[in-house]
Amino acid sequence: MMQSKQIESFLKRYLVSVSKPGRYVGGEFNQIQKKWSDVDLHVALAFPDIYDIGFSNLGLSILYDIINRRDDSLAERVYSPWIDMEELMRSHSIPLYTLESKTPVIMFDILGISLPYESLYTNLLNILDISGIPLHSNHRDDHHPIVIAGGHACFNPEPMHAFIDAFVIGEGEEIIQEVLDKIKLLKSEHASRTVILERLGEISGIYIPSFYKVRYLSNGLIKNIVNIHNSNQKRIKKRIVEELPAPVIRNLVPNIKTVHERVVIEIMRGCSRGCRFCQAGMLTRPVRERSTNQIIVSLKEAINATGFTDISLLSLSASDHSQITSIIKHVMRLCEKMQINFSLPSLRIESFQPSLIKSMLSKRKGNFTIAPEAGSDEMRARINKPIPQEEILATASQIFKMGWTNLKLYFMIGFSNESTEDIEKIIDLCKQIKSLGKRIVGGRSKIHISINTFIPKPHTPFQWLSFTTKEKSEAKYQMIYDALKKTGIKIDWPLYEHAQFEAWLSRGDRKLSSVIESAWKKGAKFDAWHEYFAIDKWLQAFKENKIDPSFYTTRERSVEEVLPWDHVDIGVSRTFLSKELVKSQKLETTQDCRSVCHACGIQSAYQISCEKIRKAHSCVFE
Amino acid sequence: MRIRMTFSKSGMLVFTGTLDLQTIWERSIRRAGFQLDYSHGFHPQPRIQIANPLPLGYSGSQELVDIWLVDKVPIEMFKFQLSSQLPEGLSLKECVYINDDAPSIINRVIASEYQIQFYENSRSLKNIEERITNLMERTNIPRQRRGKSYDLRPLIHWLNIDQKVKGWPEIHMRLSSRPNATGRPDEVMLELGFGITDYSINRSQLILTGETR
Repeated sequence: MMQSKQIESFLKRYLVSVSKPGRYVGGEFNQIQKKWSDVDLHVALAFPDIYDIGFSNLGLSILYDIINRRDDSLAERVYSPWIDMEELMRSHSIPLYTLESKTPVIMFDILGISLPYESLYTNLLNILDISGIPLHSNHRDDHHPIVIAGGHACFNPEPMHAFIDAFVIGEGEEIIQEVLDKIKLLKSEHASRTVILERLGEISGIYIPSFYKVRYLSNGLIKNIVNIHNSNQKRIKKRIVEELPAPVIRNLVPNIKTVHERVVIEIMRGCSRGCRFCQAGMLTRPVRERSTNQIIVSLKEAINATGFTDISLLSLSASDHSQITSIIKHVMRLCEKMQINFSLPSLRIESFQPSLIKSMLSKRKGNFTIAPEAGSDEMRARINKPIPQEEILATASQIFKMGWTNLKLYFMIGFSNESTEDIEKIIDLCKQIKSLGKRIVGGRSKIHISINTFIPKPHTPFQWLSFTTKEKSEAKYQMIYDALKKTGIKIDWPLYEHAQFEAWLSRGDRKLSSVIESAWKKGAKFDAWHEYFAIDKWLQAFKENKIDPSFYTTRERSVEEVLPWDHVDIGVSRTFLSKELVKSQKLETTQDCRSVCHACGIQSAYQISCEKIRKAHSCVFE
Repeated sequence: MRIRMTFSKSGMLVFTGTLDLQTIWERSIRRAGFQLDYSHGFHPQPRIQIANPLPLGYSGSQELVDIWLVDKVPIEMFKFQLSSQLPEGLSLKECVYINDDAPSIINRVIASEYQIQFYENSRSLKNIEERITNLMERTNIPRQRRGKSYDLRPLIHWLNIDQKVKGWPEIHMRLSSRPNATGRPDEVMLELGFGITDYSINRSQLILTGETR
């Protein structure tokens, strides 16, 4: 077996020949490195994209912190090598290794992989392959690490079922302890891999795909999904933590440039708005806030521990935090004192007082972003983001008046029942905002619109709807483009194929494992990188496996249909989702659930009160 | 308050380039609790001046950097506190206050000395010696780098081989490090017939004007 020393001397000698070699060596400030023999459990934490992208992943940094706080465990990091490095490693027979101790991944007890989105699937296979770990779960033996995946993409675990030993469904902060305790105990008893998986499957929130059997009907639809191991356990309920634990303070500080280098504090988890297309909003229920006190103290400590000069407050909808006014006030004060730049990505400006926005103006003004999502009041009612047209315009003019010149607007197209009129309303809204900008700030005003293709995501009220076709989608884009090309509005238009690919993988069933494997064998990797994404490889992969890709996309599903992810229980009931779908068709909206409970199911599923759980315990700060 | 720091860069940190090293100094100084002075102008930048960029992959044992602090702090305390905030591979050798109007460190660098160690003992001492002699006897060594032609020969101040009592031969050289007249040791090594993965390079010394050795 290749040892760390050999890998280290390989790196010293050959890294000069690859691009950005600093990606592959670790040694960052705040890195934790323990002695291998001092602990019982060794966990490799992987993000299946390059270092630059994966470095700042919040989920992995939380797990890294939790695992390394335990005296009996160590966690080390691993990322996908870029193409030149992969070639170099393969040509020298160097297996994938962790950055801290340069230990081959295959020597770890656990390989934990973050899967926040679907375009990382082929990279995950590549990570297993470069590590020398068999791709298929059922080909691994007692010497191989237990391969565990978690993250938002795992709420439909089926497309990756063949490659993952155990999925974590939901939030990881508590379950990680249970998983480690259990594996440690079983390891000391020299339990076999099968026994370990059996016992892991007893933990609430753990999904062992090999314990479930999916039966199909002759038309390809699912007949049923049964637990062949334990008939009492039918569904896997997502894990939640009732109170958000303290944020990670000692964040790693990279030695080379990465995508986001800043202190990130999650100020709130979950969202009470209930936009019907939004998967994150459904998955992260219930809403839990952090207190102003904890946010400010953590920010200060993290700035001191890292030396970063930028901070970001993370949430799905920051302005819905009950203490947001006080948070912003204190953050601004802190920033001024410590010479820090501050960004708040998810702002609903309509809930803000102008004086606060004013205090947020920095010398170098960035973009201000608004996401109307749809052009007409009617369509916004369908998707349950009912911001009236006048309010959007008022917001835009307020932003311009306060001195911002660049405004970015997000729209989606491809909703079912979308008419030509809905598209015209998008055009109309953009033109109106453009002329507002011209009137208020003059020629310097820049409008940038980004149009995404709507993907009906699992666990949302729209999960039964179809994904649009290329013809329809391109006709709509052409219409927007033709109408706006002379206005100076910049339009961003992601490839239809990329959205289509995301739709396949997010809505797929178990049959997709073989498609993913075929695509990877044809060289598909870095699918999230537009310059590397190759639709041909995927289409061939479907063909090879005799699967019609449109089965997963353009087909509308009936509410009676057994969906591939139906055995994953997010606490929001199927009844609620289907009621929301019906309301959408009737143009009825559903209010923010802070004002009235719509019985989505989350309270009864976890025996909690949303009202109580939302507010953090200590909110006093002066 | 201008401080000149002598530092070494080694281990895996050799794969961090000069621009990123600048950021590392900035963050380390912030973490240590000291306030860097900022340049004036439209885009204020922290005042950090690295004497001479060390190419990616090279270690350096006597590198130099000037930094400017807002307040005057006891220099030993500064060195002690900053040392505890540096990433693995970066180590402070010396910190001294220098006159704010002293000439820029960048303009004082005239040459660099390098030590080159081989990963494999692929050629005999005699063979390398011969190659060195042949190279040094030439009056010009025309080369191209990034599409520009230049003569490497005048950039080599000296070049020799050192046979350690035990172990493999080491090549030592002093090359010019002036603006527009910078000799690269890897180019010299190419002329001697070695590729970049055959050896490691350590910059042992920066030579400043007014210093002789």
